[in-house]
Amino acid sequence: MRKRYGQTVGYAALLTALASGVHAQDNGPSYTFFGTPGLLEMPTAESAAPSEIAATLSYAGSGGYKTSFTYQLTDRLSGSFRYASVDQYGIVRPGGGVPNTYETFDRSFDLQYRLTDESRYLPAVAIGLRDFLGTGRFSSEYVVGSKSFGSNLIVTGGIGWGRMGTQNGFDNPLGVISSAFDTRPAYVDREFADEPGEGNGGTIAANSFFRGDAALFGGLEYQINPTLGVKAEYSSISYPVETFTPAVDHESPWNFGVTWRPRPGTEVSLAYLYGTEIAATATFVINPTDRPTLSGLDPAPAPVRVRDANQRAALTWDQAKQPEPAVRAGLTQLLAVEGIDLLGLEITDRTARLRYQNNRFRSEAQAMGRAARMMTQIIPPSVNTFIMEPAREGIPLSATTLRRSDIEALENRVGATDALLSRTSFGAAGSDDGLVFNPVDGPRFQWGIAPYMALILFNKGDPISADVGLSFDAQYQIAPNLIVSGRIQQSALGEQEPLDFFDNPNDYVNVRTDTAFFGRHGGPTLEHLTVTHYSRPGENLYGRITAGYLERMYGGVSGELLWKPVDSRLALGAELNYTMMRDQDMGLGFALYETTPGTRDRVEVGDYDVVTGHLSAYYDLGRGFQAQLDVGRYLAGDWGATFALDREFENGWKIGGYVTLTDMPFDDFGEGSFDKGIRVTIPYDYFVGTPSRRNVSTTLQSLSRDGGARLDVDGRLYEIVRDGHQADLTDTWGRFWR
Amino acid sequence: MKSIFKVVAALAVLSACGPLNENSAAKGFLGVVKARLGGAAATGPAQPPLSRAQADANPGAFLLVTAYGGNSVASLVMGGTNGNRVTWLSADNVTVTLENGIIVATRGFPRDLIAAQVTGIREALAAGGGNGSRVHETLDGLDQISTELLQCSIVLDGAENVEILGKVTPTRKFTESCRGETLAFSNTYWLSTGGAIIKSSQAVSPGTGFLQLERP
Repeated sequence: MRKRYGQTVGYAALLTALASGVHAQDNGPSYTFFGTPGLLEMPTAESAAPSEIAATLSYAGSGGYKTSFTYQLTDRLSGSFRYASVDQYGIVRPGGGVPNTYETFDRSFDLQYRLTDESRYLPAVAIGLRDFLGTGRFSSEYVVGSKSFGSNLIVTGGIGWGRMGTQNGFDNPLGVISSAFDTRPAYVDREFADEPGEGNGGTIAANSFFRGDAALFGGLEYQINPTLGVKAEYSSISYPVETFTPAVDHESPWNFGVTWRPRPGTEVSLAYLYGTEIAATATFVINPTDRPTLSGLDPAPAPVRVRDANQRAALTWDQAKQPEPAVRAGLTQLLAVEGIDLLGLEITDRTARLRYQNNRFRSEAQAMGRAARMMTQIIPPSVNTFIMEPAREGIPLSATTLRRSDIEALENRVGATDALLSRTSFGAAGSDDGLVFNPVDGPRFQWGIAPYMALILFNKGDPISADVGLSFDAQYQIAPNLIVSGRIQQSALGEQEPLDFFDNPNDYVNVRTDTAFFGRHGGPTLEHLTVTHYSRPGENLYGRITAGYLERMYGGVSGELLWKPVDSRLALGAELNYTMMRDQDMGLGFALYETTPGTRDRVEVGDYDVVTGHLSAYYDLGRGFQAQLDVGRYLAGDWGATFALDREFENGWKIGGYVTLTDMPFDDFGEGSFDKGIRVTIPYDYFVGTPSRRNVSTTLQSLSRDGGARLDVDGRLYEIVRDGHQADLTDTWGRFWR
Repeated sequence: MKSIFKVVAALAVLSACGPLNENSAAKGFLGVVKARLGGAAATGPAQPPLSRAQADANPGAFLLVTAYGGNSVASLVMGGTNGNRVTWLSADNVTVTLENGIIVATRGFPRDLIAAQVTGIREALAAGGGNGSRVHETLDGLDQISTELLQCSIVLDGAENVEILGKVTPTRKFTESCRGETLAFSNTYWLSTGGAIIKSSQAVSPGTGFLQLERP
């Protein structure tokens, strides 16, 4: 029975979905050139569906390129990150006419909050900040209202400040509250700042919010049919000729556009902007909660084998009939079908304890369900209690106690998911005593060769480029908890110029910005080569020691200890690393280089070694939010703290952000002032459907610089350990029976 | 940039290999592409994987299941029994669990019926018509159980001859119309004169659609 889920939609349509009730406008808001829900340049008060992520690429002749990501964080709050490549004016001198323009690259963040919902007579109202954290070239604040008339027309009007207060601007009405609102501090570009520290951006320019002139904007959006819509707006951005502002050919505040949405999640639009030019955008929307592979394409599990009344009545294990080695060997084979390794087994008359490692399923709950089904096939019938001990990297994480009679009674029953969960207890994994361990059948060597592609973002003059080539991976498992692992890559592009990120004129070692010179010589690069040992020194304690070439730029030793009870929302960790900077050829050597001013040659000047470490607190806030605080010393020797907040979806998606503040002065840090970023993790099975433990993680840093930089060591404990703990098991408990 | 895309194209031809790359992105992606292409290329209904002779040699041992609107047919054998529920399984890891001929669970489909409670349906079929109710559980995109309550009415649709693997059987045809808050569907059952469901078309879920079951 081949599964062709690509075809299923048509047949599924035979089942009428009554709840859809889709109106023309319910295909969600359309997107602006800034990648936010709205008109063409102006926002509307609309919000996307909760959790939706929109990626927008836009281009206009003089407006430049913009790549934006907008995430609907909650029903009302959305955040955007944008990378723009635009021409901007140089210094405007009195009587100097229009200054020369030059290309610049700009990163910016937006926030929008919907204050009120649309009602019968009143519009939805939203308040927003555009480019409130970047260098400020587009910085604006606004309040906007949108009201729909019928199901096809939305009318929007609003008031803007900052850049959005430049078309027919008038005195700030907030001036009646305080005269402080009357004037807006001028924007300063860091490259031309008089004082060090001015214009680095990255800090919240709260002292200019809602200051200076204000202006009105408005527009209409009409949906002709479900796929085609038209928009018109009166924009309040006039793009005046000012020093270091975007050089846009602006003759008219009227913008017009056509949107085409051929299918849900895809929008293409064409527009006539500024009375001067044609512009185009493409937007792709994805919602982590809406899995394209539905429940997944997992092969069916084995049906539960139900004991008859006589078997159930047995109180003792008939070892003559079912000797332990035979049961263990049989179960090992059955579990192998599910990609599960049997590490150890303990059978008594009434209880069987299984320690296992799941190598296939993202959800440990699903792996546990599969393992329990297999146990019903072969475990002696007198056994009525299954103790499941999932392990990772050879370390047992927890013990889940299930009753075999519950598994028999609840199979395929409505309510079985909740019922089983309520009858199940979670606790700390037991000791090794009593377990009969499967012999590790020789050290296990695994290898793989695969093409790789590494995206390189924010390289000057080439905002998105890629390195591609072949990677060779090898892994050697000396024991389940002692692993040697390495990766060598060979770029297919040959020798390449160093990346051109930015100059870094400060007294700190270029602990991260030197990455521009790493692995660009065209030869093979050793990405990592480590030996890692995992341990469980106490009931709720986990340990890791990693030594070797830890990452692209550093080698050394990294040690970590984590305290995490099975049922606790809180975990505490400590990490200590001693590392040295590797040679930029990414071979076996260690060296520090410096760039000679003028010739740009790289000269070896010695070594750089540093002790870094953090104390960490992890807290599961509930409702899918996870917080982490790390306090300690970073690679450049700077001291500080990192705070991270992630929205985690039960299906494995994670979307979060972090900020790091250290004692490195903002001036020394450079553009951006401090390290911050957005990170996304997408599980493979979301797209591919078949079960997999892999995922893809990406961090969009506004700028990767030397302040607040951390060692990038693999196998940190928290993500490994939490998988088998109560909260994570409960999150995907729906997969236990699948 | 041009050179990069050339290399990407060249590398894409190279498939990932080695045990570490099972389930890798490259393989998974290629798998999806292959599945999509394969699916698109398929034309006409698939052939039943069972002969009349095989069916007659093992009476009652097989369940023919047709899925995806006739594009996929499999012959299932009994894999396990739990009370009055029988789980049938196919060679390629799909299972269908029946309670007196009515689907109460599936596994291995894109949107499985995780569990179902069918009350009064079988009785109404036996009585020549009547009402019943259903509770259907599916697994949503966030791995949470989603529950649908449905009210159903069963009516006799007349007599019909049903042919399965060349054997024609006279049957009474019933239609079961179910309606819930977000879902509505109609199932069809063909009952032999002895009252056995020898053929049926039953809804599993949006996303999987209907399964046609036949007892050869």
